Amino acid sequence: MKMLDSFLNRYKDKIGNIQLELNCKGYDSFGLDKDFLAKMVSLAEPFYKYYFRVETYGLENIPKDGRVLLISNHSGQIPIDGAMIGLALFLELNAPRFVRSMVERWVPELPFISTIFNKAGQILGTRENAKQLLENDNALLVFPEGVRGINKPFVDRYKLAEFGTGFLRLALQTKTPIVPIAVIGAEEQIPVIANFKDLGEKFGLPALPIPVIPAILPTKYRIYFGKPFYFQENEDTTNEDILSYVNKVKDTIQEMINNGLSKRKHIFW
Amino acid sequence: MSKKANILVTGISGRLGRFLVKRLHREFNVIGLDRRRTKSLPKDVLHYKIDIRRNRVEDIFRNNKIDAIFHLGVMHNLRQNEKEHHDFNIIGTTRLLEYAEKYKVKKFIFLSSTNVYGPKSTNSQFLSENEPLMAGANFSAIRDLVDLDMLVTSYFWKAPKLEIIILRAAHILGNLNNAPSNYLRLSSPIPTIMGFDPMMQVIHQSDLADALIQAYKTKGAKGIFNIASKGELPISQMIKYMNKSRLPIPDPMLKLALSQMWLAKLSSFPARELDHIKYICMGDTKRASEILNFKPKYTITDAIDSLNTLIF
Repeated sequence: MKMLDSFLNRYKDKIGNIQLELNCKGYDSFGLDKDFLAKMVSLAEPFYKYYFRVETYGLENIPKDGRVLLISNHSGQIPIDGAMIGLALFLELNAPRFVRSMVERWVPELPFISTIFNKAGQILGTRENAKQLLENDNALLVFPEGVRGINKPFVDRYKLAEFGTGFLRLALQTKTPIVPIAVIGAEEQIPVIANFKDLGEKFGLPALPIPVIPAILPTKYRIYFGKPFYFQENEDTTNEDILSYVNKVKDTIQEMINNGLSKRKHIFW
Repeated sequence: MSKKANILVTGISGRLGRFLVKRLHREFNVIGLDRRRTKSLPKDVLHYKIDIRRNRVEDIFRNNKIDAIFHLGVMHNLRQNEKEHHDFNIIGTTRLLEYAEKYKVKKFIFLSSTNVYGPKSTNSQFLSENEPLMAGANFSAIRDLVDLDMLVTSYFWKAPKLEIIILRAAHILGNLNNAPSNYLRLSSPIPTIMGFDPMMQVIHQSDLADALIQAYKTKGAKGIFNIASKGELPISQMIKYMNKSRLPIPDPMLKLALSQMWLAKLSSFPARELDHIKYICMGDTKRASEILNFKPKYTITDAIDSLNTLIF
């Protein structure tokens, strides 16, 4: 028992060192539970180090403090990519940063899962939540592809799905730098033969992917962090400008993905 | 010293009303309006025991120069006949607003609740005052309050000279007989919904009194304001703070059990209100802080402490 306890709490101090606005009970106003987060990180770290063996490139592009929007490709049927990006910023940076990500609108309906996400500091993806988190100088992870990205079929792997424009409007409004991120390795973790979308919708799910084998494969993750964008808005900024900014971010990520893929020798190592 | 202002306070016979009157009568000349009998009111408080819908209510305005109305007297008794309930609330409030305009009352402060937004899975963490009022979608009994909130809002343009303030309060905790206070007073283990643990916002009854006073004192302030005490906690932590334990029950089972108990009059909680312990519904209180300069003195744990300590 003692061993398990010390295993689960080995990141407690490191999390304690991150500046978070907590109340007397160790919660922040968005429901983050510091002790719970420490346990989640301790459980996930072996997967980061020994299962997916994550390699990171360009971490110096992450601002040391202040608000930042992390924009990444999204893949792999379940959002392990989000967890790995979060762990990278926590484990690899000298001054660790805590990443908050935005969850899908149906997640709060799910018992247990909603609670786990909430206590680990993950927030429902509404515009108001995002705005407030950035105004409070958080690092916010957003996947503009959303479910379009995470549930894409195997043949479309590493081709970015359509990007929404919300993240860019948000960045302009809150004057937040955007760090583009490319995740390589997540696409192959759960190869899918078919997606019974219509059936899934009957159960209130956005998709119902059928995997080739019911397991998460130990693919090797490589995460590339690109140079930050600082877009600025003035009175003349039109919708077309915003679309061109979005495409700039999207093209950069696609290029980072292509570069990463060309350097990769094997899916598993 | 200037003369004390004359404040008409509705709903003074309830526990909250009595508590507030005791706070308010030190600063104001309180004139109470409530059709119910009441005890232990301060001596200088004048109590009109009239139904708010009666024509005689107008006499209060004829005989006194009313400076402000604090409208707290919303009926929320779910066992009461629905029609009577609706009639009392809507007709009564409309009358008050009409008199306020006719007799040139300066301020009209209405106590609403953040419950009007409705607990929903798609809610943002903190809802601004501009959020649509969706509570009626799942829970018809709260439609009265939603209607009232909108009725008062409509007078922003119907009576532009009247300074109307709507205070949307978080769950009020104190020595009260309302659902949130009663829920937390349940003996251990307290039933919760399995797998859900939403963050909660509450307001200490003293903070509420301060907010009312502050709303009155802020010259020229108009509009809608969310108010709450300091801090938020998940339900699990609120229960833990009271050294009680939880009894997590799956949602459908709890709903079924509660609806049966409600019909048998064994429970005062209607099953539809369970969404309040399943999903978040919290107000963004920035506006009240900036415009009304309302800074709560108490924290959420102080408010929990107040459940049993204040006795009168």
